[in-house]
Amino acid sequence: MLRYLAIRLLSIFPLALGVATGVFFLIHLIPGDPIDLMLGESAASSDRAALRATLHLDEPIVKQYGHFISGLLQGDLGQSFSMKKSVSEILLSRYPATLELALFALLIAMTIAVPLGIFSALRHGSFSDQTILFFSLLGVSIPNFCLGPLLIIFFSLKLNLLPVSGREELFSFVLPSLTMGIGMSAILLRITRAAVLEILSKEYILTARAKGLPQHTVVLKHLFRNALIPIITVLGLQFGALLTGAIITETIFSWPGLGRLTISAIYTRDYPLVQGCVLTIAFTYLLVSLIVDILYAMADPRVRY
Amino acid sequence: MHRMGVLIGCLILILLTASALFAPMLAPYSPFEIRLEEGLSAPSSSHILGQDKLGRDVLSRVLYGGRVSLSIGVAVTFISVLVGIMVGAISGFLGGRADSILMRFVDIMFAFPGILLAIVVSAILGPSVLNIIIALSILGWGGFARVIRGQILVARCEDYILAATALGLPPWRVVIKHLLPNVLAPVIVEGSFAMGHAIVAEASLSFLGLGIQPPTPSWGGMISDSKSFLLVAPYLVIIPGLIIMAVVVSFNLLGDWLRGRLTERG
Repeated sequence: MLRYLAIRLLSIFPLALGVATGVFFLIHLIPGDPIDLMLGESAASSDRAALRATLHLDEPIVKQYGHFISGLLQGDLGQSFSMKKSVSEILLSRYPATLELALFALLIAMTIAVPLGIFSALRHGSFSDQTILFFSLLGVSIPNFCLGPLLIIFFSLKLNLLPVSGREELFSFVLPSLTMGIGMSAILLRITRAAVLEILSKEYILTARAKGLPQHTVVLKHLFRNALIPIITVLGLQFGALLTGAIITETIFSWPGLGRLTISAIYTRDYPLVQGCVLTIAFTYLLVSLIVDILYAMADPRVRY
Repeated sequence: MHRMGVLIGCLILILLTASALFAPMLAPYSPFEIRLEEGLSAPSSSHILGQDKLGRDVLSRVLYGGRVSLSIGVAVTFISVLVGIMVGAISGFLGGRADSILMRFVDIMFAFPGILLAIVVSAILGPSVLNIIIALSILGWGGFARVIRGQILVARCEDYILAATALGLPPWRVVIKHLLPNVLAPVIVEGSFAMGHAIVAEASLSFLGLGIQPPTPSWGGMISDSKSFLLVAPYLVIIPGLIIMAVVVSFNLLGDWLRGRLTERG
């Protein structure tokens, strides 16, 4: 187990390096000069040249790549072009906002999906099962940029219950996390239901029932624990999707998180900031998949690495 | 219930495809005709779905927008499947170093946050229908490559493949004539889901302003155009939103059904 974890942990670094390399060259391919965007096209050419030299943008691209990677290896993501602050500082101030949304979304998804999924599977084929399945299909299919505005129309404009956008008020997080959580809960529900259905046909459930165990013991001890593995898998995979979904959701709700930061950094050709954002998202994703693997072993003693 | 669902889904898809194809005949107005003084008018008898901020007829824009959204969905899925099959087949059949290199490459692509890659690529190429198709295909092929590779790894050891190889068939013939036809079922299933994904991805890009550029109508662009008028004209967001949802629901129903029909063998 320890050996496996060490290998997995180490394998994150080449992958992250791959992502870093990919993003470095991709962002430099985007047409548009960051100097133009910072100084305006009418700036004196001496000023432009001076700024270009300070930002090392006058060097050959391979050399710039060398700077970037050597900085990265020392934990230095560089200075943002547009915000005149270090990239790590900006990321640290924005990352919690996105993490907050993602975690609440996860919580919402689990609270809706796991009990309903188990219920649906236990009542397999009934009217309530079909109704739950139908709504989960809607939930899987509705894109964030449709659901978000619909939630705003209903909860903010009609009922006047929740703030429309921003992160200033206490309940600001509710609508954006709902937007991200509902889609995820639908996927999770389908997985939970399928997993429970499969387990229901196993002999140990028959044994447990035959022993005369009460329903809640069968469900909690025998069904739920065995259904955990596919649930954890999907949670891990979906967490990555959540971080990406944050780009759209944060735009809808003017949420000051990593997603909106990434978009605006791309628009301003703020190379170091884009690199930092993408790396942070990718690193989180890789880390979460590692945590998922650890959770496997904790949830299922049969899993050995 | 399930078969009814598929039936309704297919009906929706046929209807929307037909209405997109025949948009020039069906649309009551030009999708570009601006009537500023009638901007944000609610649905009425002359404009069944109302008018947007520039007074353009929403129904006409929905019909024409379908042409853009659906054709991008089809093109992206087609290219992703094609590239995915090629890469997956090479990876699964050759194995060894080629397989590790290709699959690590796919791993890196997956570690890249999905829509972000499309955003960067469409920023590099500039927004046009062709470039959006390229950007979304770059995003889409990896999943197919993984599915095909997995299938081929399993199928490679089957007796009929061993027999074909033993008979001295060249490898490309074994792959094309014997392996691929036997591993296509999951690709068809994935393809159905991928159509829905591609349409949502295009709409997301257009929503962020990086997709289809105005004045060309697209479903995502219509939502983006109208998101600041939620209070006065919520239907401008609700209508294209519902249509995108209906399309995605239909493709998901189809995919679920196909999965049940095609992959329950053996």
